[in-house]
Amino acid sequence: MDAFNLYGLRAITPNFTSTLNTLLDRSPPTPLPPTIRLYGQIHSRYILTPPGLLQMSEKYLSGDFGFCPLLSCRSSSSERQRCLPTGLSDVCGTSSVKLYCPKCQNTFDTNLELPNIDGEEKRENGWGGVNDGEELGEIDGAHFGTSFVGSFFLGNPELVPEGKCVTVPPCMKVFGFKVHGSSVALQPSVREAYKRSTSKRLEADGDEGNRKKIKRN
Amino acid sequence: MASRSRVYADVNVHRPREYWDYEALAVSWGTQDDYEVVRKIGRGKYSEVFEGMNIANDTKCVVKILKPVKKKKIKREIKILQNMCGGKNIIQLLDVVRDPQSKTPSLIFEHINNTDFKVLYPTLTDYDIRYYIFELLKALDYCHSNGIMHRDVKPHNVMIDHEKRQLRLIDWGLAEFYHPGREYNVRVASRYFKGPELLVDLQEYDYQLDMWSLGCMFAGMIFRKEPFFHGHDNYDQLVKIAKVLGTEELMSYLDTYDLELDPHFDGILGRHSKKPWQKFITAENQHLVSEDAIDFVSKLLRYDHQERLTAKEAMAHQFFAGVRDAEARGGV
Repeated sequence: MDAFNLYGLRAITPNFTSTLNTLLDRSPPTPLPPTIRLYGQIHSRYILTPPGLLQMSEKYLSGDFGFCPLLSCRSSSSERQRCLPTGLSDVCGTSSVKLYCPKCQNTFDTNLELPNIDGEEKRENGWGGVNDGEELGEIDGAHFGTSFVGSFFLGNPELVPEGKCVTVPPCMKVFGFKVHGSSVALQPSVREAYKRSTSKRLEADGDEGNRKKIKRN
Repeated sequence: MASRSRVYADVNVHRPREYWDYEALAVSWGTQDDYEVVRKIGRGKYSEVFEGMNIANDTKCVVKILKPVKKKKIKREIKILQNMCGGKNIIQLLDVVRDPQSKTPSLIFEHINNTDFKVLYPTLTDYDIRYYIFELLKALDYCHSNGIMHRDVKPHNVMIDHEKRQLRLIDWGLAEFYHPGREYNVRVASRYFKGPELLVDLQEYDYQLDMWSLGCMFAGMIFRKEPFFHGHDNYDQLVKIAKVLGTEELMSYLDTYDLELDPHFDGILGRHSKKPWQKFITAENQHLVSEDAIDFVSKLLRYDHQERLTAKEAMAHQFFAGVRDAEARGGV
């Protein structure tokens, strides 16, 4: 594990060592709420690291985070638009995790029912089960944080959905910085050129891992 | 034997305490609202780096978002950047800001239209190499003469705007103040550019560490071999060096400073004679390798840090005669 993911958490976590050991399966269980809280805080940092971003892009592509509840919000191939989880705050206990749609740029509650069209495969956003669990309660938005969506598209500009994308959504902040309007993460025309130059560069570098990633998309 | 820098050893002794006592620095954090991020341009072990925009004056900048590390390390980088401010070919720190919510600190720098070294270096002419190494030496002599060792010199940390023929030495996150007699952490610099002093655990090193790293970078450029010493781990790194500079020479270096090699080297070091620099000449690089270039590299890549040319001595080397002349005539 990247030591940076833990930095500063000792100070704000009661019984830090034993709680961490519970998470690492090294010691008997510590009380659940603070353990979940520590897990979530580590999670929010991990998903900003390169391996974390890669895993999140895989989950995004397979629709694990769910889909936009707006019936008209579709990708170019007429599939439901995939969503990303986002926090509205980086402070635990502020609000639950939300779904962010990168196409219509709305933020939704995770428990909204997906409208259905006859003959189309029934879809459900996969957050329900967790929301129902009384003990767990809702997933804290801070476990994803406010920097994730912005970092995700700055790191994977090729995943920005097709279509108009000129306004910068307010939740697209990266460590507190707004994403500038000229960013390739926001403008589809620039994105194509970026995609071409990236795949060329990656081939020149012989970067196997990343090349696979580009091809898959 | 104790080691003390041949040059600029007492710079910090003679400066006021607030110059080098970075732990006492009280940072006045600006607001980050003036800056927005445009695209990711890199990441290091300790940071994420973005091209940014200062929306107050609509100029490009670089935003270096620091990962949560010890306050002491952040203060050291800021203090050194402030001390270096205005130095020739040193990256300019423009602002220091902090996210009021998460307290994540970020450094705002001048923007350089850099060409990636993997793309740029293969296109450089013999004269270009002389010119840019001379520019880099100006930055190194500036920081050394101000009592600071960079400790992470490598192509990734040298930004070049080839159109403007402008060079900047960046990433001062590992830089440290030199105090004679102090023992330093040897876990600095990137493996391929680590000096022998770091690999044999000689903690009393000095500015001349940077001159080794520069030598590695220069050898990589003229011999078109990047990295020049390609070790697979820190032990193998010294083995790769010994295969070029010789094992006899390594032993006499260890004797000089009364050091012993880690037993881990038993069986992997072998015996190697010093390899003449001419042996690295190939059809692909011979247009870049002159007698002066070989003399220059041989005076940088020495085991003993005290034997290496200092930045100032390096700038006076015959290899740069043409560059110095052009500069005297006011050209680049």
